[in-house]
Amino acid sequence: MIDRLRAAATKGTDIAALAAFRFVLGALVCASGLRFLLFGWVPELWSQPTFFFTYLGFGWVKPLPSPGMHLVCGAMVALGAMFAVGAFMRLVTPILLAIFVYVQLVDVTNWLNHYYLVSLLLLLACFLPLGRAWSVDAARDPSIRLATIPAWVTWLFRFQVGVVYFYAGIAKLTSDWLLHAQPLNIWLSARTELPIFGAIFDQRAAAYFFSWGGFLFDTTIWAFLLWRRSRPLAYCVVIGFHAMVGWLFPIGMFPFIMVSAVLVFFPSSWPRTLLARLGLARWAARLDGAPAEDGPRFGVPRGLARAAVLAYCAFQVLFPLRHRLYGGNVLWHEQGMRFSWKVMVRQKNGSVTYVVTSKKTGRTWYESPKRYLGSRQERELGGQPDLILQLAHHIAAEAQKRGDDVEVRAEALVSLNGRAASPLIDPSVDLAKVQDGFGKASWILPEPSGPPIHLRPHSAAPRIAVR
Amino acid sequence: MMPRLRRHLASALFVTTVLVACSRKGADDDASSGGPNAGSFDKAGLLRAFGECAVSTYKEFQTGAAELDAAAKKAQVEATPESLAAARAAWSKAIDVWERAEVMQFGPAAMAGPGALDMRDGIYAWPLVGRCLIDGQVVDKTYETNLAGALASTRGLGAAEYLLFFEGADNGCGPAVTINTNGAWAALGPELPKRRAAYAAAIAADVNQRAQKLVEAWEPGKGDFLATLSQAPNATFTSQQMAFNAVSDAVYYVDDFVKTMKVGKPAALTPDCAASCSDLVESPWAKRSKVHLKNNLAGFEALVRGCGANGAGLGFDDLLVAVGAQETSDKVLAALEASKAALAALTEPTFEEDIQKNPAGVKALFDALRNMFAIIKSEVATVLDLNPPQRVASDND
Repeated sequence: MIDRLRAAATKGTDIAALAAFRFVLGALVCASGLRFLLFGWVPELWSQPTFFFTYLGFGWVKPLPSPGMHLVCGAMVALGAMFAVGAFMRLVTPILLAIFVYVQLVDVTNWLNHYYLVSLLLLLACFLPLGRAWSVDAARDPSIRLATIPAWVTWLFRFQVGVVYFYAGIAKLTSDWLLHAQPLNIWLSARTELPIFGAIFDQRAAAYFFSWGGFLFDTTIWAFLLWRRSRPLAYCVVIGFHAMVGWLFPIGMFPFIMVSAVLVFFPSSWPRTLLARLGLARWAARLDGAPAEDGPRFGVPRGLARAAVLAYCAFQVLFPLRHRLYGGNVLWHEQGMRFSWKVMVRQKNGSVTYVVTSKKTGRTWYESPKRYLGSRQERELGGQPDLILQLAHHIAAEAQKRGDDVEVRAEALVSLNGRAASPLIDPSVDLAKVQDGFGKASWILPEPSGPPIHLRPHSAAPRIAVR
Repeated sequence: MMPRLRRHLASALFVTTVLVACSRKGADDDASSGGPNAGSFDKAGLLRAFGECAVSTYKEFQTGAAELDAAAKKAQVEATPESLAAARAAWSKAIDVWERAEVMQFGPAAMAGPGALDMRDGIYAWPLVGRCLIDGQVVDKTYETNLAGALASTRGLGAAEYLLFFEGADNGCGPAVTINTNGAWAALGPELPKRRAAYAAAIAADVNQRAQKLVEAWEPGKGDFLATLSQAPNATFTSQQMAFNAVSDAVYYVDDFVKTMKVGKPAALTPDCAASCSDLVESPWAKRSKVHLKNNLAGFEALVRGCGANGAGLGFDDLLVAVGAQETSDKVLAALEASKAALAALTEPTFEEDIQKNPAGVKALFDALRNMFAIIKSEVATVLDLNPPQRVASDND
C-alpha cells in the first residue's frame, strides 16, 4: 500500500498546470499590490494611524516611513509580475513572500484569510519547481527545464486549498450558522433591494438556504473537485459560489484567488488542453522547448523533503483546531481565531472606551480608540480582545512617557450576530498589568447566553403606522 | 452531461421563480391589510424621509440665515444697541436650526463620502474658530474683499458669534503678533465695534448664500440630491445599504463632536484637557453651549425617531422594528431619553457654570451619551449591518 502510494506520489505528471498556477498566482499578487496603490489604501493603512497592532513576537515589525510603504506595494506589483512570468524565480519568490508577509505583519487589523492563503502558496512556491517551465527562467537556461513533476507537488497544493475549504466549512458547524442562519440572516436582510435576488433575500428561508448551502459547499467541494466525473460541475459551482459571494460582500480578491487556486484540482495537462481548444497548441510547444532529461531536481535530500512536507501538512491540519483548547465560543473570545480559516462566520461590532486613571493624581479620564487608530483599525478593534489589550498597553506606555503611571481599564460592549450587546472585557481588570500570551485569557468575559437575533426581512414585517 | 445540466438549470430557475412569486404575493397581502392611517415601511421611503428631514432643516436654516443677513446689515448701518441685539437674536435663531442640521452631514454638507461637497464648514466650521485670525481680519479688513477665500476658521457662524457677542477691547493674539506689535489693533479705538459689525455682516451675507446653495444642492432640477439618496442604488450610492451607511455616519457626529468635544473636553473627561477646561465650550461668547447640545440631540432624534413633531415620520427606529430588532430600538430610544434628561438636569445658567459647579451632572450627561453610542456602535451596527464611518473602503473576509 505504502509502496503504491509512494509510486503514485513520485510519478511524473505534466508541469503545465503548475506553470499556469504560477502565472495566475503572480498575477493576483500583482493585482493586490496595484489595488493598495490605486485605491489610496497605503496612507489609510500605514501612514495615518499612530499605532499599529502587532502579532505576538513580531512587535519589532514596523511600517516604513513615507514613501516606504508605497515602494513596498510597488515592489509587490513588480515582483508579482516577475513571478507570474517566471523570471529570476529563486530570487524573486522568497523576496515576494517576505514582502507579502511583511505587509501583513505590520498591522494585525490587515488580517485577511486569503492573504494568509497567498502567503502559504508563496511559501510552497519557494521550495517547489514552479519556474521550471513556461517561464523566462526556463527560456534563459534550458538546463532547468522540466516536462514533468512528481505528483505529490500537485497533491500538496490540492491539500492546501482543500484545507481552506474544509476548515471554512467546519467553522460553520455552529448553532448560530446552521440553526439560526446567522450572520447570513443579518447580511441578506441588508441587501433586499437587489434586483431579483433581493426578493429572495427577503425570505427568512433564504438565509437558511445560503447558510446550509455554504456549509455543505465548503465542507465537501474539495471532494467533488478531486473526483474526475464531478469536477467540471463542481468547478462551475465554485465559480457561481464565489461570484455570488464577491457580488454581495466587499471581499476584494478572495473570489479570484479561490477560483484560481481551485485549478490545481484539474488534470496536470489542462493548460495544454485549453490552449489546443483555443487553437494555440503551437504556443505551448514553443513555450516548452526541449526539457532537460534528468527529471525533477529539488536540491534537498528526499527524506528531508518528505519530513518537511509531512510536518507542513500536520501543522495545517492541527493549528486551525487550537481554539478547541480554550473552550467557549471562539467567535466571542477570538483566541485561536486567526490562521484557522474562519472565513466570514460572524457579524460582530463593538464599542470600546478606555478608562484611564492616573496613580499619581487620581484623575480618571476616558480615551477613545479613535485617538490612536484609523477607522478600519477601530472597527477591527471593537470585537478582538487581544487588540484591545495591545492598545491598552500603548495608552499606558504613552502615559509613562509623560511621566505618569496609569491604570487602564476597558469598557467594551460587543454584539455577536445581533445578540444584545454584552461586555467583552472584565472592566475591573487593569489591562496595563495583563500580558498577552497563548494561555486562556481570564480577563475576557464569557460569551452571552441565548440565541442570536432572528431578523425578519423588512417586507415580511408587520406594516408600521407612521406616527 | 448536457441534458443533466439543463435539468439542473431548469430546476434552479423554477425555484427562483417560485421564491420571487411568493415574496411578491406576501408583499401584496401585507399592503392590502393596511388601515386608512397606516403608512407602510420600506427602505426607500426611509431614505426619502432622511433626505426630506435634511432638506426641511436646511430650508428652515435658509430662512434664518436670510434674517441674520438682514439683521447684521442693519446692525452695521445703524450701529445701535437695539440693532446689535436684533442681530444677536437672529444669529441665535439661525444657529439653533443649524445645530440640528449638524447631525445631518450626509451628501452635499458632508466633508467626505458619497455626494459630499464639503458645504458644512463654510456655514459653521466649529471647532475651527480662529480668534486671532479673525482679529487680524478686523484690522486689515480682508473680509471686505476676500471673505470666501479666507480660512474656514475666520468665517461662518462661529466667527459671527465672536464678532457679534464679544465686546471686549482685547484680541485673541499674543503680544508678539503683528497687530499688537505694530499698534494696528490699539489704533482701532472706537472703530472696533464698527469693524466687527461690518465683518459680521459680511459673514452673514456669505452664510446666507451658502445656505441657499446647500438647499439647491438637494432640490429637484438643481443638485437633486434628495432623489439621489432616496433612489439608491445609483451611480452615487451603489446600494441602499451604502445610503444608509452615509446617514449613519452622519449620526456619529453626536459621538465624535457632542460627546467628546462639546461635553467631554471642557469637562476634563478626555485626555485633551486636564484642568480648567471650561473655556473650551462650544459657545463661549453667546453662552449657548447647552442650547446647542439640546439642538444636536434634536437633530439626532429627528433621524432616529422621525423628523415630524414628537418624532412623527420614519426614522432608524422604524427600520429596527421592521427587521425585528424591537429591543434594540427600545434601547436606543431609552438611551436618547436618558441623554436628554441628563442635559435637562443641568440647571446652571451656562454650561461653563455647570462644569464648575455640577461636575457630577456633566459626567452623567457624558456617560449617557457614551452609553447611547455603545449601543449604536455594537448592537445597531451589527443588526443593520452598518459600518462605522470609514475614510476608504477595503477588503474583508
